[in-house]
Amino acid sequence: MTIKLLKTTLALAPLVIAMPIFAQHSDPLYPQQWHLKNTGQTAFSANGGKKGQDMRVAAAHSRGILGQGIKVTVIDTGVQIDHIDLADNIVFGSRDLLNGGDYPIDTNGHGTAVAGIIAAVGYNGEGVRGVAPFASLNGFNFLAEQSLLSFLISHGKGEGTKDTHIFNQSYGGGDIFPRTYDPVNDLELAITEDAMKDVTLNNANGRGATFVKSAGNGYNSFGYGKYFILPGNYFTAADDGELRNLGLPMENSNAEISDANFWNTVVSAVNARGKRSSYSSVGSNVFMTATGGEYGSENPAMVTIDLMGCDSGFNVADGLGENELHGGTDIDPDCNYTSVMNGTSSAAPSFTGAIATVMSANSLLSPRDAKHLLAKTATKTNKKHRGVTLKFINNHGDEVKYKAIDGWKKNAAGFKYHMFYGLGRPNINKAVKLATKKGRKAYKPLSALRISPWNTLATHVEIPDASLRGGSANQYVNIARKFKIEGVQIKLDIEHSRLNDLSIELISPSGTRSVIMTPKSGAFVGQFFDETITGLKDQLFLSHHFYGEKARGNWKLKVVDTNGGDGDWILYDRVEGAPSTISPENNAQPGVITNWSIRFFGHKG
Amino acid sequence: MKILITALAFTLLSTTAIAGKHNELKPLKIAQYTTVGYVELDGKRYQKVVSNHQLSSLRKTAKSIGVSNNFGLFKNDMIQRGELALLEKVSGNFFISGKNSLVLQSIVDEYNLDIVYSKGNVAIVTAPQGKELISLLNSLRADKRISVANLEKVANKMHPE
Repeated sequence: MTIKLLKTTLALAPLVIAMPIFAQHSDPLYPQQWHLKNTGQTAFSANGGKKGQDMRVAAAHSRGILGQGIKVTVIDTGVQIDHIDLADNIVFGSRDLLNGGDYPIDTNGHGTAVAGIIAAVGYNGEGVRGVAPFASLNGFNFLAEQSLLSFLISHGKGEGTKDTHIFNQSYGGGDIFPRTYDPVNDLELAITEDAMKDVTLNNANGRGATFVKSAGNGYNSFGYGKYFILPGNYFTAADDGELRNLGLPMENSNAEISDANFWNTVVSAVNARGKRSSYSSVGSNVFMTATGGEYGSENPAMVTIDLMGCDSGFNVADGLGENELHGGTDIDPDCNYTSVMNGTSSAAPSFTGAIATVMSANSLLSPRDAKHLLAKTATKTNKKHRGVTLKFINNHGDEVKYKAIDGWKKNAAGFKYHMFYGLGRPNINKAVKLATKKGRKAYKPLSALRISPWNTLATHVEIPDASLRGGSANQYVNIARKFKIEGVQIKLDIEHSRLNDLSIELISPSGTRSVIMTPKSGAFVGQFFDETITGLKDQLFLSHHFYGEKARGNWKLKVVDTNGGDGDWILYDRVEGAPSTISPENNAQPGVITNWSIRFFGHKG
Repeated sequence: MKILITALAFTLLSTTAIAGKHNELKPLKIAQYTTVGYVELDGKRYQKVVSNHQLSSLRKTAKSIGVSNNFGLFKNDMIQRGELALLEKVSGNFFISGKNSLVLQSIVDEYNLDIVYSKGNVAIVTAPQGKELISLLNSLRADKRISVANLEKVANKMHPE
């Protein structure tokens, strides 16, 4: 075969695949999969969504771009790899990390539902369709065995994951204690980060890989061990006409050290009306948002696969919403599907499917390129959202307003960002269109990823109590003029005896403001139970707010103390069903910024 | 630091009312554990715990199981530090760093350890079955060829989101 003929054949391959597919065109539950094509359908819940609020993938699928040739590893509770609607996409490498076998037993159903969102087999006359319905899958039950060795095996350092392009991690573990970022002495952290970096850059024969991770479901409350961490007005807000936690997130996803890790692509969730899912954690570390839905009774959740049979998976799980499909109906007599799956656990695989689909459109694309194209073409969902303004009484006794979360704001590189939605929700069709342009307009892959050294400033800046003035510390970063930002990391030392009062901002040389930690977050309530914790020490934060901006110049860190009064929290014992309030006293001394460091991930451009 | 912790029961909210009104506060069913000893690790005091299920089978083979301050730590032991901390399982693995891989190999040979993963000057090593782990950790930390030695504690902290 000549080279020209080979190229022609490869170019036509998607069409060749597409033709027989669309002759069949049958996934019986597809009309209810609002995340693939939102027509306002109810997805078996009481209310419908809003037309067009979806992943915008239908046109790409129609072109035969379906995730073919892309391998995804689902790291979760396991995966039912012989599921009737998954089996044809399953490839080598799955592993049960408890018993060493090659069947990653999923007794929960979560991982199987996640796998279905990514790559349930499409056009096969069965149930549902994945976002990337021809992508390849394998799975690991890492959540059943979370040792570092299991992490490595499932995250690119095992035989079954060396050729993986995308790792889906629909899991998280909200934290309540500050955690020092110290890879020199914390070797688990060092090994984890080193492995993720290596896999990101070199996996799959050099094409690279990416780790997609859910932001968390903790906007209103989040779990830590046997406790739920709740805002002080959790039980009384409705009666008092207040917003819980004054409308601010309980769990800021940036507080979890693994979510502030650049090698994780953190995804928040949107519902079928195009707004933040009511539960979704948010933060400046969110790269983009994707479809996660609501609970499935009142408003649509996700329609995906479930463990086969009516005595397993979502059919028998406690506390999940109920709707018409759940539990087995005429359309699903064998209970192989569910319509109550939700969470940022659903948003992550939606985004994973988006990356897989875009990558399958152009074999020159790395996962990083696919993410870039998705960011570039993203939809600004809920575009009129104004952010969240916090009112507080300042140290002069006046009520003042502080913009704790901005609405959509354009950064100096022209990318719009919102802490709820990151750079936006994927428009897969548009990203595929850019990825498949030919000739002079053909997409040029990003140049190699560069990582700057840490730039550090030792300082002593007071943070006045309950004052909009805040404390600020600037440092000039001398870096190549053409260094374009993909992500910014901060390490921060602050002395403060009530960390939840603080809002932490980072302001770029171009004037873009990113709130890297929102006030009234439940992130650091562990401080009130451990007198040795006097503040933050090398606490890590990540921001994608500056995507595409130049790194060189004067960076400003500003910390605002937003509370001089009470600061109640509730610790809810889930075993006993017993709530306790925690009322830490206001800080007697002003807080102090003592050290901060900044580094950049990006490329020459 | 002074904090006030008050049982919210005083605010007239019964547990039943809360559960009925707030579906998202799902109850949690967890195995119950009993403290059987204490160990000192990284300068902090940990409770050594055994699940009640396991405890009853242990009691069948031992006359009594009391709380001990000198219990030692072994592979698969469960430990916890304070009420808020997560339950952690001791895997029997250590993370160590040294000057280079040759140094690490000599350490591994000397202490009769097995390398399960290594890259550069960092390795995950596993202790022989039945070895008491705190004394081994102290020996590794006292060895001048070793820069850092950490004992792995697996909290299973991550959960489906």
